[in-house]
Amino acid sequence: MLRWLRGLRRRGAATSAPQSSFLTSVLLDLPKVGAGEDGPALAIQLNNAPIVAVAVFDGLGGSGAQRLATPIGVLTSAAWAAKLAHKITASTISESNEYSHSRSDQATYFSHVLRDKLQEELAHGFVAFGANLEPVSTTVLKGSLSRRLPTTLCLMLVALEHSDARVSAIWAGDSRAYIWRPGTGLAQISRDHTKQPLDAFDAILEDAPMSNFVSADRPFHLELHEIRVEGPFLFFSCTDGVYNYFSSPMEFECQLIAALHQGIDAGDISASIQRCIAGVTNDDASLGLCGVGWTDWAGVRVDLDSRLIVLKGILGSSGALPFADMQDSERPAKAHASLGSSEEDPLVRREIWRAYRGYYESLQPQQKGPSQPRRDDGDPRQ
Amino acid sequence: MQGFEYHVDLVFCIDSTASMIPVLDEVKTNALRFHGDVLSALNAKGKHVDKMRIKVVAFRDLYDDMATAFEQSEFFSLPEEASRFETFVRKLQPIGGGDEPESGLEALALALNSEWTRGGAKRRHVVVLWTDASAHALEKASGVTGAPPGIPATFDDLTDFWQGQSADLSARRLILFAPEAQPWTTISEVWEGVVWVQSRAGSGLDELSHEEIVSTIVNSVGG
Repeated sequence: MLRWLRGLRRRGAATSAPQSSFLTSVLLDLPKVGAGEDGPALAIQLNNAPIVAVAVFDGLGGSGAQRLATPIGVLTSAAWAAKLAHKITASTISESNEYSHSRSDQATYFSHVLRDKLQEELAHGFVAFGANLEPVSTTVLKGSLSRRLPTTLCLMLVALEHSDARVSAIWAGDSRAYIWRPGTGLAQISRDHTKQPLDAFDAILEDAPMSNFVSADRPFHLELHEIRVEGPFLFFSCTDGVYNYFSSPMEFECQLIAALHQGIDAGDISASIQRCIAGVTNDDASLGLCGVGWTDWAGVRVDLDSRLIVLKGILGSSGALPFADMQDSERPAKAHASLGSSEEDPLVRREIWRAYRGYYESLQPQQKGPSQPRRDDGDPRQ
Repeated sequence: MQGFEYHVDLVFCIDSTASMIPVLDEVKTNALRFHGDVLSALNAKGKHVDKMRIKVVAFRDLYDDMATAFEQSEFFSLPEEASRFETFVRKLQPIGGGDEPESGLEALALALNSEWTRGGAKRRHVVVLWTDASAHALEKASGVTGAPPGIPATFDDLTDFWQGQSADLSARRLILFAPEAQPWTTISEVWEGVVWVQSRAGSGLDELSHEEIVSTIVNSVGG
């Protein structure tokens, strides 16, 4: 297990995964000033399978504030947890060899086996690397709000299958898995593990405590949810520092589209998203994003334009210019301003959410009971 | 920034019995700097605290001297009334008590009965309790006249009060500076949203510990 500790990075960096039918991955890590508690985002393309994995990890700063003497220096319990989760996840994926080209259900089989292996590796690794770490202060923090190595984890696996793709989300906590499709827009694949069931709109204000996350001192479970999606589409995992500081899910999609549209390659896009997020929060933020079905990021921009037209129709905004007519530096501001006047009024915002939420929520698992794979081949609002 | 306004209320429950003499000045110092540190840390995270208020419940032993068992302030708005808050805290004198237990649970009940803020897009209600002793059972006060009104009759009732029947589930936090004794052990295990700070060396907080506690509050306040 010590191999996991080699090469631990203190900061994330924009990197790319080798590509076949997938676009170059975009990774974003925005640690807050001083010390970040998000683990570096990761993107991996498997060598022996048409699968790309993206994942994020968010240490729970409120529960994991105790500073520990870790093998790589003094870190908060939360920060160490996120880094451990990153290394264990990367290692488990890279060493997996369960993908079998001879199985008809290869993607499903692989995601289930990987989820079970990851659950086991995390449980074992967190105890092994967390149980005996000593606090560096003169106090010990206990209580229900204090946990040993608490972190979220959100992993997406996208496997290409014939004419479409199998998308699997594996997660614990409130870091999220999303897809974005031309025409239908943004959809959340995961469902936050919170003690109060909240939709994405109410969750922004309520900040409900989490009901399930990875830690070294309590049982946890990794939930798995699968869907089939026809391309082209984008997929990404992100921590709450990315999505939770916009006034609504609609604004989040709008700002995300604007940021994606500004970039011409993965590095550009990462920088653009970073500017967008830094404009609304100082919190940690991590994102791992990829796309499938386009030949390059330029092709994505065309579909971003189309989606903005659809958004304008849904949201009833007026006066916005198409991206193509805007100067690059204007796009993020104008994209938001197109919704600005109607977004200011909370009641209007809630009404817009009611019109918007249909597709956004349509791919999530049921609130209770087993989730069923479903085919995503149209706009459920119609 | 996001633009959501945070309204934060802090209630400090301070054991002011004679046994606290060695540490009461340190407790006062921590109490006086706590809100400023929390405010600074929230601002650093880009979270705008539009309103912060602070209140003090000083407690001793209801069964030793009922007249001096509790001293409650009103909520002081910060920063406008910071000097009044400081005056109240500095006037607290360590008297009475003598032996364990003390009236910490009643003080906690008084804190939970506060007129908590209902404003702001996001609200946080934080109770910080300092004591060096265990606490009388609430059931003991059954039939005792002169006790403050509104105190639950049993620990289970107080637990229900904390767990959501009369409180905002996601808004509240409890920070306990208390020894390893009942009822603090049970509270830390059973109640949601609790941080129990225990000194390893048997002495007061060092600067690092204070930062950890502020960080715990800020990260949980900030969502």
